[in-house]
Amino acid sequence: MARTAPLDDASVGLCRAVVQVKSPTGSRPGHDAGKRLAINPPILAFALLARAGYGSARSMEAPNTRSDQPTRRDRAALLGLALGVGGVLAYFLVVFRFAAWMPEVRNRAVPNWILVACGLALSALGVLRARARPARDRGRILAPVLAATNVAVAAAFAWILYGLPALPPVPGPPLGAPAPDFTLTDQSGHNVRLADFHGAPLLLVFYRGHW
Amino acid sequence: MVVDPPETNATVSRELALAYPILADSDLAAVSAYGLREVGGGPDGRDIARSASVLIDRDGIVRWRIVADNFRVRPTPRTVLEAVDALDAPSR
Repeated sequence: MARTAPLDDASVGLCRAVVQVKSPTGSRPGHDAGKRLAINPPILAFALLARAGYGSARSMEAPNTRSDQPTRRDRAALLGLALGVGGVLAYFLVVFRFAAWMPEVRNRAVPNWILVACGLALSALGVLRARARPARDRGRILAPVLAATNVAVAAAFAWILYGLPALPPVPGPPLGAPAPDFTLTDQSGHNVRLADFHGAPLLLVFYRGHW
Repeated sequence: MVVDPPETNATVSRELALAYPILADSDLAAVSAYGLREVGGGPDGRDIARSASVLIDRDGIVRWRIVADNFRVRPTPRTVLEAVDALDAPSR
């Protein structure tokens, strides 16, 4: 059965968010475009969230819906898990590949946490909806299982970001004291001394190693 | 500065087209002198350097530093540039 539906507000918001991401209006090169990209994921996520709510409200009117199978009413729960997992995967796929171009995202993962938070909110919505379903309905179990998975993924993400890489403190060089001298070999085999840089500011970066 | 040998550093420098020298500190002499030795932090349990950035002024004095407490988090280029600008600020 073909149905035409007028564009609801949520769909309009979704289109607008996507359009803004793809073609920032009046954008200046560089900084401005980056800012716009950073602001838009929450708008997009919110529009998706609203769209999911609208879709499931409509499906309640749909005829021939078998209540013993996952239906469009589970959309919030499914989309919630997808957003949560997507936010986490995006961190590892995109940020580790392009960390040099997005150091703030690598350090703080703000866009990823926004996605995860939206996903968790949708999961909660899915659980609330599932509780309103008949007792023998499979959807009553599906939504909490998906939500629990989403929470576990978010917890694992937090541990990987903040627990696993946490290191015991080391003293570092004292501020205001003369920098310790050294003579070391550079990548071309030449000896380099700290004194070689006297008279100019010098940034020393210590790396963990290449492996 | 890194514990890897110069040959590894030559490869890394070439692959990443780095404009600055990479100094090999295989016995961690300089790393230890700067208080940045991380015991057993390497992949095979050997000691390595803690991720850190140290800014030294024209007179050889340590003026700014960031020592990582999470190996995933590094100073951004902007943070470092602000520290370099602050070197020449009149209020020192």
